[in-house]
Amino acid sequence: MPRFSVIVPTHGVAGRLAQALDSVLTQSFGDFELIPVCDAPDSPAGTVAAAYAARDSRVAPVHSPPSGGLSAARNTGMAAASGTYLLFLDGDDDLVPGALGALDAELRADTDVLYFGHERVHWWEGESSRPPLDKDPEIIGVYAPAWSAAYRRAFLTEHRLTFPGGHFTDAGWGGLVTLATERAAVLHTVCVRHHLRRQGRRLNAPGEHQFEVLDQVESVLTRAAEQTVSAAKSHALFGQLFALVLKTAAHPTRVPARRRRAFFRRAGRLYRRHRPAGFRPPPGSLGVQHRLLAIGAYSAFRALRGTNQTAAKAAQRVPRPRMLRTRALYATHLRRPLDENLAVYCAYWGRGYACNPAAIHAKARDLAPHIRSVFLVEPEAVAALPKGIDHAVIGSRRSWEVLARAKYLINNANFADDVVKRPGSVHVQTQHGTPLKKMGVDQSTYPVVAAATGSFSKLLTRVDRWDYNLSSNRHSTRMWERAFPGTYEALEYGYPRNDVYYTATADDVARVRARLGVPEGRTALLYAPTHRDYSTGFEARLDLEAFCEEIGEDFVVLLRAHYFYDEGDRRGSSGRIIDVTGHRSSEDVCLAADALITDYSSIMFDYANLDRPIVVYADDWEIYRETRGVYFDVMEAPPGPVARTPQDLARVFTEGSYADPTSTALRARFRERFCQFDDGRAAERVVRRVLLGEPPEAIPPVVPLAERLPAPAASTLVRS
Amino acid sequence: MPRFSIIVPVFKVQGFLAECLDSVLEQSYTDLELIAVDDCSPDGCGAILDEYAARDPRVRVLHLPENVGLGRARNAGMPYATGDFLFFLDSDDTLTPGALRAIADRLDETADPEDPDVLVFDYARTYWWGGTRRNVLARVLLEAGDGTFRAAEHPEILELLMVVWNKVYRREFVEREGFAFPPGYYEDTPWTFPVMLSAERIATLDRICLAYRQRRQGNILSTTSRKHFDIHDQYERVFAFLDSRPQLASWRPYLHRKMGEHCLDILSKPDRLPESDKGEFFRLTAALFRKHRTAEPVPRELRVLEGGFTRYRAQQQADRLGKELGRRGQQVRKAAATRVKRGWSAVHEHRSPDPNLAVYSAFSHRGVLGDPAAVYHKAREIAPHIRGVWVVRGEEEAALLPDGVEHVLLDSLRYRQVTARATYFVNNVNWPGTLVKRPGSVHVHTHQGTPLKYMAADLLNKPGARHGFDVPQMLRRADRWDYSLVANRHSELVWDRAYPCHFTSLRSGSPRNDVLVRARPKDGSAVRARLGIPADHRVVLYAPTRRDYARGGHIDRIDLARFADDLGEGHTLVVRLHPSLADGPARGMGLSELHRRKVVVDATDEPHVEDLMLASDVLVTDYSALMFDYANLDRPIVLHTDDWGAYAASRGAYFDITADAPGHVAGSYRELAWLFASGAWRDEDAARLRAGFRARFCEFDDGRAAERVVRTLMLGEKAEEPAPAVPVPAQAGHDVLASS
Repeated sequence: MPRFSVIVPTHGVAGRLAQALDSVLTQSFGDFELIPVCDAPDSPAGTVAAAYAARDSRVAPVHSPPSGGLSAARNTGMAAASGTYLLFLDGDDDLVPGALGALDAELRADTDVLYFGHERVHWWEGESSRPPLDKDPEIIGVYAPAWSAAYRRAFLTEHRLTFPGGHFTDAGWGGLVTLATERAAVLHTVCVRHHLRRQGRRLNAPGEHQFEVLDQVESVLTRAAEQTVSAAKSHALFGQLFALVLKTAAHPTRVPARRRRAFFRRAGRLYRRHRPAGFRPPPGSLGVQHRLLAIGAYSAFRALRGTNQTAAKAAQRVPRPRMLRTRALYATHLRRPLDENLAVYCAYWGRGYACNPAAIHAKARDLAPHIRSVFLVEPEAVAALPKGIDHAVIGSRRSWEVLARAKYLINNANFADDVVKRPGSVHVQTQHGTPLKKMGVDQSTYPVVAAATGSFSKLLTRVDRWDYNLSSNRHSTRMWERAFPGTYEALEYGYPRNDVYYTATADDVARVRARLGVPEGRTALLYAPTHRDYSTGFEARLDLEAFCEEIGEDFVVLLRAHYFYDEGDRRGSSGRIIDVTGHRSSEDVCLAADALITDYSSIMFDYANLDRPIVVYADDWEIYRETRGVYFDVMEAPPGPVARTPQDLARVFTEGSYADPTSTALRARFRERFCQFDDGRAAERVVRRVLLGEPPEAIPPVVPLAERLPAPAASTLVRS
Repeated sequence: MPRFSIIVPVFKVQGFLAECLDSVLEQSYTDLELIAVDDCSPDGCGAILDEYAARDPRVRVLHLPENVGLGRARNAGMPYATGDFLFFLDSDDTLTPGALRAIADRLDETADPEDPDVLVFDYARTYWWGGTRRNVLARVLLEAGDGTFRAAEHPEILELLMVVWNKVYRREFVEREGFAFPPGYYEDTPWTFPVMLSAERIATLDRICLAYRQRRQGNILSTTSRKHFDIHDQYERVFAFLDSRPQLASWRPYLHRKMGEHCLDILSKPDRLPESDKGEFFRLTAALFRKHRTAEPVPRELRVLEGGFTRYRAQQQADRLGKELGRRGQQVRKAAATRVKRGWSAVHEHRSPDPNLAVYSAFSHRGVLGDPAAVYHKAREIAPHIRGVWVVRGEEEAALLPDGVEHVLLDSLRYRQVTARATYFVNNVNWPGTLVKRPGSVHVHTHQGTPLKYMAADLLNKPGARHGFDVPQMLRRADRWDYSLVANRHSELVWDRAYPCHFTSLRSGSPRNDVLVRARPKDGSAVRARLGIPADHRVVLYAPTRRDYARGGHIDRIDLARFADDLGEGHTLVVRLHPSLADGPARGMGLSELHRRKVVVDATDEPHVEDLMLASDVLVTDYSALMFDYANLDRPIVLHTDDWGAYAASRGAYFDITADAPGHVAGSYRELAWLFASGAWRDEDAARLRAGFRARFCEFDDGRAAERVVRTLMLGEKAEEPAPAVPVPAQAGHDVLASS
């Protein structure tokens, strides 16, 4: 008996069926049967399903004529199912990778129904959304589509639950299930990606079939009357069902105009007959509708509906004044003189206190205490700011004020397009990495990334604001000149954020490791893959669990995905993967790691400062090079051994070549080329030159590479 | 002694220099020396040059002790040159791949009785924002003919951009004449005119050999300065040269005019001269113009130089005003015309739809082509009561229509009338958004081929492929389809998924392929004769597709000259680029030149791709949908898929063509060459692969597709069940070809 039976109705979605079936068959949790329900063996979907069945014995198609509709299809699938738990997946939806595993882990032996999260994906227009699962699991009921829960089969058989015929079967089903459920649970993880119909659900189309929602409601209420239900549950269920009914009744088009009164009348009769004792209508407009329904006042209901619609339309037309006010405010502040002692900092479009701007900020507090510093951050980042950092939320009045008045503006990306460069102000572009991939206008011939860049003219107007552009090696200086043509001065001072690699002590390293939860005595490998522009969404390129398994107990992996993906938890179950994607400071993570694995992330240039082993995992270098564009061939001059397959990569660690003399020699050449100006004093140089206005000749020269002493790695401590 | 001495003056280009040097040193033609002149560049250029010199013995570096400017830096390099030809390459420009080979070949072609003095070649501008544009006067190079000439014989050659870097110069000629670059801006002028006018033998090469980088102009990078005043001195030098060569005196009026035009052009550009200096510039120009006046009448547009600056200003303003008024007038006229047309549509929409009227269009109204053409012809045959009208883009396309084809021009009043009343709409691309679907009308979408690459809604997660491509609009337009024609079940599933709209798939087969399925062996001979291919040659049709990961869509994945050479005697390589690349710079990168030299046949302009398929013996492609149609001929297909990873990642693909291929798959050019050299391209494995591919993708193509469409949709036969029974896969096609 398999753990899950996944029942997939396929009518009308043959084209997308392969994706749905693949999403199930590629689940890492494999104990399931997959039951596509097709119109007929020779229907388009039937052929697809048959091909899958021939390949994979877990696929067992069944057939249900289209005349029976969705409910018959699901019931046919249910009758054929033998799994402990049933899942209904629409033929044009997908299971999220890892969904079955997550469900399996969450299910207890006695759970009747487990509701789970889902994502609503628009075909093209509009953003995806994730409806919250914030209700009591016992009464999620009619709101949950049938495909958003796992049902214990024995529970369904025991209560003889099947999908009621006709339209709106999910509502009836949800109601009936709610009535029968004793033990429901909720898993907040997103398990299904639901593709919204481009032209709307057929259920929402106007027509006579809208009356069938009343049939569904009636069947649920009738069943409720036959059994004893707790007051809480029956009140909640009644409220939900009539919210559904009233939504249809109030909708401007669903019920044909000449039939609206009849619909309302029948709904009113149902309402009065089945209203549970002690039921209190909800507050607000919906409550008023409840009362009108109870007394059958259709004319009043119609008037109320008209008023609501007019009010909603009027509200839409009211302009949102906030933008205009801040604009005007900014313009006003621009007329005031520059504040000579004010500096504004921002890193990664407001993601927090990080990178070069943070390092300069910290140094400025020491060396130029007379300068007031304000860090700009997005609202989400405020909580994570270190104590004592004066900050302003991007878009707030204060942020516009300081942007207008500050003499110094320091950023590792760019300020909003609306920010003007005032005469006398000093804009410092710190950059946030050494360019391997093409940047700026050099991206223009690569549509894959040009698509995301937006207007190149606008980019250059932003570049025109720069006075200084920071560089940590000659290569960068040259490439910035191509990528960002402008009249700024290149400051070959090194990256301030990398100073810490020369100033941190063994204690600092130990502290960071403890904070990240690196077990004592293990070798910590930092895995930091970069983003692939040729597709949207995160693609796991390496099975980290399998990798950990292969390389043995001595290692743990610190996973740092590109900052585009710092949501969710990819910790895995073995406990050997520590997800540090959300950690504020890349530098901390680097200090903690004994070696780095990356593909083409610019973190390799920074990490090279620590002079610890680096391994390049380049499984798609040719694709990356051709579609993204690169400035040099990292395969020819890599910072360490290069692995092209997961097996190669594991071997590099099991055989120890990640830290052998060849690796060291490659790294030495790499360091010479790319750690050129990073000597631990970059922030000081920037502060003295830019904020204190010292002449270029007074700035301390770069310490030669041979004389620099990087922070010690933890593993060397263990050995000594 | 090398063939080419490439002299590269270097100043403040550290970001671009390596790319420039690489483009020279990585040329397939290696007989060259590179003389880099470091014009005391303050940045890292000197170090980069030394690095290259240490690596490659062909590189020689001169470090100048002080900055002397572009022209004199070139002069400094010249004495060191030992090659037959001098090539002055600017250090932020690049040579295109294969450029020197093409130049060398062309020089050899014109070397009788001796090397030409100058060879002028074509270039493309590459802009900082990513665009590439071909030199607009490229045709001049072609029109100059195969032989050599003097400037007087083809004076248009002087209309090309007067720059030093689009030519190579015979070193002995330059030394004999003592040409050198003057100091200052516009140093190209007093070099180019004397050189071109003195050259006894000029040759041309219509091939893009150089990419001229247009760095960002305007804004604060603007080159506004008084340096532009140098132009007057430069023309004085040109006139002094004329004085020293009495035999060239006849050129004086020409140069006089040129000078006037050039200076006025500089004056009118907003970013060249400081506003306060414009008056002075004008006066100096006018003085120069008077000084060198000839007996010839002054052209109208230069007469302004005979008046004062004030008059010049006034005329400028008047011109600008005139243009603006013209633009406004046009806007008003256009708006009025749109309103009239809309009204006209409305009038006809009040009348009932005409059940016997069908409108056809193909490939954005380019003519009687593709599936719609096949349906049209069949409808005329078996449903003659239905009047078929074609929509074409413009008069040019209309002129090319076959006799007896009724047509309307896009957006004309007749177009409005016809589209308002027609019942049947047949197209292989979407109708324009302005066409509103009337209830009762029947829209038939034929598609253009079997989909391998992602289409429409599936591009959602492919940012490169959907860049600049309005998918939501496309889906809204597809909402008008009633029937989608499919040639196999794969397509049926894909269209279902890619176009989440309401349409019915008609398992008809592709009407355009009827002619392929019913092909007879002699069918291609007329086309061969027209293309000048010997009857006994084996014809290899090479049809690569677009790349979504490269701007412009074109990448040369194969060295065509080498491929043609490797195929050897008795073969003709016919190349057809994707039609969308026909007008861009793609063909200028070598294809046209190879076509001229009869190394390959460039068939990109052939309107009917079916003709080419019929005329060929084997198809070589990468991922073009042409392969699905070609499979109907049951002739060998070879795939060259060296960038499948990048292609699939950037565009997306519905299946792995390298795993389910119609024939042998070459992952590199070497493998491709081997497949042909060894004869493996048509071995048993190839036939087996093809058979599997045909079974899957030629499923409904049985030679009766057009008939099925007309009978089902227009004649209403089997109306109750639009999808015909699954036909036997291409049985007829098998027989016809088997007997050949």
